[in-house]
Amino acid sequence: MTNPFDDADGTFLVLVNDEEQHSLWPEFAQVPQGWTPVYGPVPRDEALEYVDIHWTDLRPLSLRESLA
Amino acid sequence: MTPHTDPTRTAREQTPPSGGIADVLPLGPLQEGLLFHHALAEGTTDSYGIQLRLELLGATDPERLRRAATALLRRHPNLRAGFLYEELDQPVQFVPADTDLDWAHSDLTADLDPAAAEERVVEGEFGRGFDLGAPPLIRFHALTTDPDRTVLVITAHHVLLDGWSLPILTRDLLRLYVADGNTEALPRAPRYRDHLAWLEGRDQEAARKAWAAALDGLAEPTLLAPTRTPASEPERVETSLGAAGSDRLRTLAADTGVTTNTVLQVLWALTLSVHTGRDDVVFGQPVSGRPPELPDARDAVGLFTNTLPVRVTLDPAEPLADLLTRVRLEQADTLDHQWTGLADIQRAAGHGTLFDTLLVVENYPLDEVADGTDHRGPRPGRVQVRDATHYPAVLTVLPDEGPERDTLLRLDHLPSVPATTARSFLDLFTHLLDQVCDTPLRPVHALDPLTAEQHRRIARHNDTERPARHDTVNALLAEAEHVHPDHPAAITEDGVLTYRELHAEAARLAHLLTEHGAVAEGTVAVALPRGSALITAVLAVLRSGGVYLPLDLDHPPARLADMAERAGAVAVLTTSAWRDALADLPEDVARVELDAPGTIARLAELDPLPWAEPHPEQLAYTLFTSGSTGRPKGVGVTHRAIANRVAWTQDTHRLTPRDRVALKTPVGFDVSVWEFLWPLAAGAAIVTVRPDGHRDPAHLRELFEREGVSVCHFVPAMLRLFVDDLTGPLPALRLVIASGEALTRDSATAFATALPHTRLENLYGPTEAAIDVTSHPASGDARDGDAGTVPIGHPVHNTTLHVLDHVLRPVPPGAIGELYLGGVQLARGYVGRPDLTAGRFVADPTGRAGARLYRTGDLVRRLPDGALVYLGRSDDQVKINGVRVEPAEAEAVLRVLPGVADAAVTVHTGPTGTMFLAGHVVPAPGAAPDPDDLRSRLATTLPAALVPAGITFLDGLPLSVNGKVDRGALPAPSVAPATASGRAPGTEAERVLCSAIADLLGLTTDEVPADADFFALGGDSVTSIRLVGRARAAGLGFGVRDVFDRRTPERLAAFAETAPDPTAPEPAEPGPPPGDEFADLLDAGEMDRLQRLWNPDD
Repeated sequence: MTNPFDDADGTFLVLVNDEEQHSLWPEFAQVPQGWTPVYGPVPRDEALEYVDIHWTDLRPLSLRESLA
Repeated sequence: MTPHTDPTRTAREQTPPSGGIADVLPLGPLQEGLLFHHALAEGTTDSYGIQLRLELLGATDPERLRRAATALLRRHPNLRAGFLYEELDQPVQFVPADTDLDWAHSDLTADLDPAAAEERVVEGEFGRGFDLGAPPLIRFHALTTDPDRTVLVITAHHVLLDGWSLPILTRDLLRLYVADGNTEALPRAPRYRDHLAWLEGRDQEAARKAWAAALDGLAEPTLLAPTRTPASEPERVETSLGAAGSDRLRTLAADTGVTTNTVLQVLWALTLSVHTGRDDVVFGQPVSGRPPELPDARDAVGLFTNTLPVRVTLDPAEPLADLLTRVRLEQADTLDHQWTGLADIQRAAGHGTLFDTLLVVENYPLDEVADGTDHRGPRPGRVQVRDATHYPAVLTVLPDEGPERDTLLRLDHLPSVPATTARSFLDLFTHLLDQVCDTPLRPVHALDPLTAEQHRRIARHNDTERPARHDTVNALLAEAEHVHPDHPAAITEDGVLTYRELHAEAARLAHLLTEHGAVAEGTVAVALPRGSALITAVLAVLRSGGVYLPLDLDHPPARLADMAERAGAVAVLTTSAWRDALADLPEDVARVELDAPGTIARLAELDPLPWAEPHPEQLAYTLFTSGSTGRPKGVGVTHRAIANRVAWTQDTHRLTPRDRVALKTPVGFDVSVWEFLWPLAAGAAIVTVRPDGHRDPAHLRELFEREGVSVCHFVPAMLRLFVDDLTGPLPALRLVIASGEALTRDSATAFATALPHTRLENLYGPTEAAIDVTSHPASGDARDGDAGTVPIGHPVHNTTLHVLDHVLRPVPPGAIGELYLGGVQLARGYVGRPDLTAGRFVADPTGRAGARLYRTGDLVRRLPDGALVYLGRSDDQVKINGVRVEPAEAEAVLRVLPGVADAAVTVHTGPTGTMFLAGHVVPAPGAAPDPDDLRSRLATTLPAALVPAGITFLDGLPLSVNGKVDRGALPAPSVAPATASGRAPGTEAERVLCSAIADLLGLTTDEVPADADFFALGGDSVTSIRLVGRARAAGLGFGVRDVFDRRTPERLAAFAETAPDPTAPEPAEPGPPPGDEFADLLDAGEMDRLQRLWNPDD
């Protein structure tokens, strides 16, 4: 069984939540509450490349703000 | 007293055979399969009986009925057939010119309880086996229960006839009764041998191609039961669709332009998909096998039926109506090849067993027995058919047998599918049917496999919210330091440290670390052997507010350096003894050697550092695990996550200051985290196991006794060794926690026997969710569906468990799905790898806004009480000696070694059940790499568990149709160089077997060494029968079971030579060949042997 997130031939979105955490998301599935699509639909590699470039700090936003 | 049938009133008659062989025929495809199962059962009842119980109303003369049965066997010669494979090149069915009739008559009219007596006879007939070499394989038992009611019980081996034959057989029998046995009175019967001749004329190659195309790209079979179950009479559950439901089914079919059969196929495929968690499913469907080209066949008696694979691929975005029409179109290409035997189809598809469930839609018309019979004879009353199956689940759809003459769904299931699961299949099937009918345009992923009640139940299982008293480990540790200052905290080879002493040292070291750049979110590596310095170092890093990164000194220096670099370590806490191991670390990582005079002097000057008060979302530690990209992944775990894990375990298994907890797990393995933190948060003492001592049962036993260890952890494999080595009780040991791999029932039982007063708990969790997320006691009985293991159980506090399918829907209880984790224990992600993090820690589709789930890759099933059972991985990841291993990581490293053009690494299970990796290498042009050299190069960057146990060389990696490496086609590994040497056959017996195997499998004799595995070469059930036949002809006696057990020519030859000599074949004498299209089936010698076997007295 291929997990939908591992489907090399699938089409994906990139979602972001209020903490600016990013998630890969298969295009076929409904976008969950509290998440916003910021990129896609694109092939998996492109979605991951977007994440690599744009999610530069894995710390959640609330922590970054509290440490700042 | 139990009433019974007086045997004197049962007349059983059997006359010796005479007259020789009338015909010799090949076997139909399904007949070969049944012969195989018969041979495999070796004398025990093979259970492939089919039984018709025919009630005859009105006066019936048993003698006349007997004459009719005799005539029936004259009319249909194939009902007289016997089957042979021993001593023959290929199995045959032979038709004796004449057989006796296996007939019995019981007069039950005077019996006290004729109904019970009738049941006993029916049962007895069904249970009595058949010897396929000794026809007749059909027997008749007439029961006169009262003057106007006779029951005729016809029991046959399935190899003779199928269910579709039964109405014809019955009709002919009743006509022959009226004609008093005169076969001339009936129109000529169609001949089964014409069907066999028709089969011989089919285009095998075209069929092979059509089936290969139909099953192209199928990754794996769809199986409900992990091992093949023996055939038996199934249990049954039923439900009906009601008149309205039946109408909707028909309307849906009509509206979408498909048959109801297609709708039922798709619904069964969806049901199996939900239950097995696969998006590409296969099940079997019997077809009548009576080809339109042979119109006569509709009236013929014999085994025509065939079971064919139905494959349905599911695309989550496809509307259901489109799925229905696509499935109909896809099946058109195999319509002309429905005669192909299943074994041939499986070979064409490159798989073994493809399915173990059936959908039966086209049922044989038993009703016709009652219609259109001759009024001059007895009238048929109730007709019942009994059939055994080896399929764990058979769904039969009966269009108008429900209570309102509506559609009845009947699920016959064997014990491997429990009744609750069988019932859930039917519930799911009808629940899906409702949704498909309601909204045929909705996409597949929008189907909800759960009922509202199931949704509610799962929500209750996940109701784990528990407010945290402390949400950082610093707060937990500081509290214990404050409450228990003079209590022992660490018992090591250096002596005993109290809480006050331990924390005083750690506080000064923490101060020193701040001078080296340890700040909030700053990483400090800890590279020390197990002992008091290690405990102090971990506490110091936490106290400073930093993130500790444990470095396992057993790992290669290059790997340690890679971890330190990628985690961005600012310093490493170590001693001068480990300078070489850390030589590769980047230069800007400050080496803090605890034994260096400078360090000792500086520490003496420093004040203790108060506890840093980190934000709960700050990291507490980073741990590396195997990564499929060729480099390990660093998992960053937050204070909130690990504090929750520690608080849960304290709430559940409460440590007191009297408890002593073993610190025995290597630091690179996350279990060590709770071994440090739990006791030190609870005022209990840590007892350190000496370095390497965790692998030494004798040391552990001695230490546990001496220091009174009360709580410890074991990986199940090591637990077993420890328990087996115990010589007496360990009274202090009250709790053992097992995790890291599946805990078998067997190990749990061994534990309970050896340590009856110690509690054993099974925990489960990935590093990515703070060590453990579920627990279950190991005590208690085995449960349906637990796969022979202790369940991994229920969630810890503030944690939710979601079992989702391939389209991210929750699966119903009992179904297999992938485990996703939610709640506070989720790690932040993979250090420095946002891409990997975004693909693994994903948006939560189950309703909590903005939350994430971690997808574990673990396959699980939910038991009725909500406990989860671990069933394996959805990917290639394995645990080797408890260490998480991605074969792809070893593969990526192997591929770039000098002299290697390409490589694959596969996982195998050794003879004793242990897992190991095997490397497959394609050498670069002109290169001749040495396997030992490759292995030692791997060992410079990979931990021992990731280094393949053996490496084999290939000219190229086998590719599947879609161009990916076909891992299933890689040769079995040769771990011990002495095995599978390619040794040429040495003895005459080995030569005979190697040459027979080569011939049967279409190989050259060079390709069949004496130690080759018959099944690895492509042997299967059908060819194994032929091998036995040929071996016997050469005087080598062994059975089909022996082929399965012994597998190689070498072992089979050795076995045959020590086994009792079978009847040695005698020199051939010329005999008359049968003289038709099947004339070359047997040579003269074989024909002669057959005659002798059949008529030994001639």
